Amino acid sequence: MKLFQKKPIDERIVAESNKIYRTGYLIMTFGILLDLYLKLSGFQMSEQGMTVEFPLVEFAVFMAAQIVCCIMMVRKGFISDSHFAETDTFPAKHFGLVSLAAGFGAGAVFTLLRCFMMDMDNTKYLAIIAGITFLSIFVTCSAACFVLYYWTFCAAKKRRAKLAGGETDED
Amino acid sequence: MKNKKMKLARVERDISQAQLAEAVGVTRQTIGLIEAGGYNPTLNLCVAICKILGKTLDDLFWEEERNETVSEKADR
Repeated sequence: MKLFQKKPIDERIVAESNKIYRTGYLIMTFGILLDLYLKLSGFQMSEQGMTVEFPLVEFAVFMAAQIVCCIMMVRKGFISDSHFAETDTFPAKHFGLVSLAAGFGAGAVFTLLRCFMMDMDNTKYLAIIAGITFLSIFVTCSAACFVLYYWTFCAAKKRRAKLAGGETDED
Repeated sequence: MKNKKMKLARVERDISQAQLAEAVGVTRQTIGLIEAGGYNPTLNLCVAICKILGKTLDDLFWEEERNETVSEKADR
C-alpha cells in the first residue's frame, strides 16, 4: 500500500517546463562561462598592474535566468511544474509552505555566514545577533516569496484566460 | 488542426472537458488545446482518451487528408 499517492502531472506542462528549464540552463551556462572568462582576464590583467573586477556577473546571470524562466512560464499560463501548474484557485497552503522553507533555508545560510564572519571578541552577543539575523531574513524572504508566488499566479491566470479566449468554447 | 472527432465523442458521452481531463490525468486546458489543435498529445495520452471515450485511435486521431498508402505516396 502506498502511503503517499503522487498526483499525475500534465504531460504538456512537463514538456513546456522542460523547454523553459533548458533556456534557463543555457543562460546559466553561458553566464558562468562569461564570468570565468572575465575572472581569468582579470587575473591576467592584474599581473600587469591593472585590476579589473566584475563582482556582479554571477548574480546578474542567476537573476536573469530566474526572471526569464518565470516570464516564460507566466506567458505559457502556468506557475510551476507541479500539479498546481494551472489551478484556478491560489494554493496558499502549498506555496505558503514552500515560502517558509525558502525563508528558513535563506535565514539559516545567511546566519551561518554572518556568524563565521563575526569578530571573535564579540561572541557573547553571537546568539542575539544570530537570532535577529535569522528572524529578519526568514520573515523577509518568506514574505517576498509568497507575494511573488501570488503575483505570478495572478499573471498566469490572466494569461490563461487570454489564451483561452482564442480557443473554441467548451461545449 | 482541430480535433472535431474527439470533441464530438466527448459530447456524445456527455462529459465535460474538465471531467475528461481529470479522468486522463491532465488539465482542462490541455484537453481544450488538443480539441483546438494546439497541442499534439503523446501516444499514452491518446490511448487514455480513447479508453475513456470508448473509441479507437483511428476513430479519434486519424487524419483523413493523410489517409494515403505508402505506395500512393511513392507513386507521387
